Amino acid sequence: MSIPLMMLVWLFALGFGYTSGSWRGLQKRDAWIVCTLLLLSLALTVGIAINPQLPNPTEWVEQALSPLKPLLEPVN
Amino acid sequence: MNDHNTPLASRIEETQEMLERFLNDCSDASMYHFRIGEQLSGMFVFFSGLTHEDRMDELRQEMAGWRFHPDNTTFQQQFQYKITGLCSEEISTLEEIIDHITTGSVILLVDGIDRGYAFSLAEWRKRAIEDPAAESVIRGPREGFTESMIDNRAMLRRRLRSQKLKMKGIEVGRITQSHITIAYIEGLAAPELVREVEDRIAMIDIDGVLESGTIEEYIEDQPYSPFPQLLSTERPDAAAAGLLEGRVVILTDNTPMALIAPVSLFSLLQSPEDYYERFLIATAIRWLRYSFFFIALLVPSGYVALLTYHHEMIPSALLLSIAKSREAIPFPALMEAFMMETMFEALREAGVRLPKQVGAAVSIVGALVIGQAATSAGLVSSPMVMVVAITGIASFLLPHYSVGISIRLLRFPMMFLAGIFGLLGLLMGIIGITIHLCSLRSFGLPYLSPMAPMMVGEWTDVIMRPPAWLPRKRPRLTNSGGGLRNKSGMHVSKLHRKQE
Amino acid sequence: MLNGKISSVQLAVIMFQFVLSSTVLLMPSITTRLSEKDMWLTPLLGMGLGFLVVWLAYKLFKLSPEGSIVRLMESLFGTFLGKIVSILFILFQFHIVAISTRDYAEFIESNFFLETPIVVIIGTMLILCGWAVRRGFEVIARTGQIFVPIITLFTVLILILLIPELNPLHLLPFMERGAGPLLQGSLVVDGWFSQLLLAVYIFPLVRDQDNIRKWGFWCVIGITFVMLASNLAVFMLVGESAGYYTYPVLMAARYIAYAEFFEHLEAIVMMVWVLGEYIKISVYYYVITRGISDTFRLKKPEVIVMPVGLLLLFVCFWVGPDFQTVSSFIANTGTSYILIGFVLFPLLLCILAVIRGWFKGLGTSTK
Repeated sequence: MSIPLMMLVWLFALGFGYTSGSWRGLQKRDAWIVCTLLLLSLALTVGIAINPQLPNPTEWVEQALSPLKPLLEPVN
Repeated sequence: MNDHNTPLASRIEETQEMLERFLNDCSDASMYHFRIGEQLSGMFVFFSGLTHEDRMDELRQEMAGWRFHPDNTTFQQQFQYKITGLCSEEISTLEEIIDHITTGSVILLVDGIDRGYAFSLAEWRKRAIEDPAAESVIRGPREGFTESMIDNRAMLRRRLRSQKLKMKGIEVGRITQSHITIAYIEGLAAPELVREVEDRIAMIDIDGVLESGTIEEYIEDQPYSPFPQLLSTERPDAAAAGLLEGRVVILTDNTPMALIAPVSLFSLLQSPEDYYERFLIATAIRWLRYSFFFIALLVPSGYVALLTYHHEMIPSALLLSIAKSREAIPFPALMEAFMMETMFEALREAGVRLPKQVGAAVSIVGALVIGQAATSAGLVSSPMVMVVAITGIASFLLPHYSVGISIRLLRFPMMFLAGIFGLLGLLMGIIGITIHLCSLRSFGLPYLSPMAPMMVGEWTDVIMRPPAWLPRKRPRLTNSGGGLRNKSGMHVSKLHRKQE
Repeated sequence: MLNGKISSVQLAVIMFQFVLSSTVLLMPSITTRLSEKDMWLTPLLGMGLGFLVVWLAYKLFKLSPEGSIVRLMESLFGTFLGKIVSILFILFQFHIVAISTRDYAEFIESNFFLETPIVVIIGTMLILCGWAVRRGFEVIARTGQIFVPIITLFTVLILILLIPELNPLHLLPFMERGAGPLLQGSLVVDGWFSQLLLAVYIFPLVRDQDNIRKWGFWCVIGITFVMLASNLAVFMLVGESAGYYTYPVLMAARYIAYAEFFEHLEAIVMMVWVLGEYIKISVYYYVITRGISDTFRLKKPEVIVMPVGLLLLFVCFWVGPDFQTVSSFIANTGTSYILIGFVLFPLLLCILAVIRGWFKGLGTSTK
């Protein structure tokens, strides 16, 4: 996904957040969670922008579960 | 505004002075002095134009002929004895005077008595009861509500001759003090519903209410939705039918449009005429209406989507002829559709305000000039004109104007989505509208009942027009003389507070 | 947002569509590769796991304090560790739904919109699902009630329109390769059925909880039936080459041509899949939001809907640099992964909870 598109996505998201108004009077704990989620998104954005082949969970799971692979290989 | 309580004075000159100060510059207010008998002087206070002046004159003549005898009671006491039974109410404050004379009563003030006497002699020029303009039917009563609250209430009372038909009055509007009547049938309408309606209306704090539309905006659940959450109707039989289903009817003074709450999308697609014609025909017409509901919403966007992105879905012969007509058109399908639809909407709006003499000419203008000429000029293609025409007819099929305009409005975003994203955009639009409809409630009733949430027992009224002799939840009776069963107020008493 | 009540019928309808959404399109190809001629039997075997998972979900719901599985994890593993376990489970769900969404988006993009950036397809779907989630699960349930009959109708329509082209002889010989390949294929179907476990997050919203088991049963039956029908139709149409097409049903729809009028109905398939995916992603989205909200005891769950959606969007891109990795993952390791997460793990929770219940019972009885 190209960088301009990602910035557009963030623009939309922040624009929606700004106009949404459900953020007034947010309690501390809720605000923490929201910020964590947004930070994670930011981290991923940056990560994907820098390296499109970022190590991803699918790979990790494939490696972790590789002993189980033969179970589901076609028998012929 | 008028919430002080200014007591009247005993001496008539004082009262008159107070009144004149209160009603200064109200040149339509009249104060008419006359003699009562030989010994007393009285004054009528009224607004000319609101009262039956002949009867007032008769009253004056009668009172002029009264004889008072000097004995151990005062003349005023004798007068008070004679007047009981003639007047409708005794009033004691200046504000009450205003209240009464603005609804057409005549107030009698007598020198030496610090009370006023109200006579209900209200009569003014009002519109005769006529065929409702926007909701006429082929079979059915041709009475429509008028601007007079008294007439409207009478029309309901005539149809529902029971003491269970309750009519609660509220006044809304700081200056207009408009009379609002909340009508419901005790025992059929859920008490929570009635209370909710009352509460919402009582919360209205506004300078004036001129039309029920204002009330509707104040009390509906989601004012931002394009869909109406109250049904507005001019027909007393539709209002009475709603009352019999357990709904609440809100009548507003000075407007013939009554509001019915709560309402679901399916009741907005029903016409009272459905219930007067034979059920097979009515069912067929109902199905026609449902299909045209979808057509009105989806045909322009579907056309744009198919033509721009999904040519392969159109059968080849049709595709060829469409392509031929569109060959010389300089605009892409989306722009063409948008232009034509906007033009059509403008025509329709213009048509509403046309004087009758010009009306016919304009329809010719619309059809020939715009449709034909634009096509030959190569600005739009004839399939596009067809599409716009079909859509227009489809939206006229919807019996209630408010739903029709919602669909007309929603067409445009759908066209945009279809023009940009093709069928996927169309689907996104449909999903979006469905989500909105599913989350909409009208006074607690989910907007899409009985489809979602599913209430299978009520499906017969949606899928078809069930015959009148088919009672719900009972074995079929073939007796054609059986009366219309009262439906229980089930679907509106599943009322629960908004979840948020 | 988290409190709308639904009926057990609505839940069954939603879960029915939820499982079927991607299944009907993807399954024939994968199961054919494994079980060849016997692939049509796989749903019948997978059905068993379906019943197991529904039972498991219900049991877990009953065992959970306040009906929330998050609380169960906390009571089993202690508050802090329980929250960690819950978060891991949520991350697992993130992964699964991201793969599913990516799959859907690639399908739409490669077959219909080659030029549109995928982010638009994923983004618009997430916006709609997020909106529905924000309005509450009862809205999702109601939209489901409207869409599911349409989806089912069109699926059945496509299958019926295919009847003239079908060749039952493709199904013979029966069980040519023995039970092994058949079991492999049914494992894949099990993977899809196991997603029914997510219902455990939604049980607290059901009004008539006594009917859950009955409607859960019918839900599984319904899913099996539709899977069976579509498997049969696809296989009878193209035989073993179904294994080579990624989307056999789409290709089957291309076969339909009646009177030169009903042609090129792939757009119908797309419509069916879009509506179905909307439901699937909405349910996952809701479950994730609910999971986070329960784990951290949020006061206003509505505010995290947008951040979760945004994160989900990026995770969809993170899970696979290109579609090939994702596709091969789904075909093989994905099944084991999903079975571990939605069957073994909940089974473990269940066993632990039951054992702890015994100990508690022992403790009180000896007093």
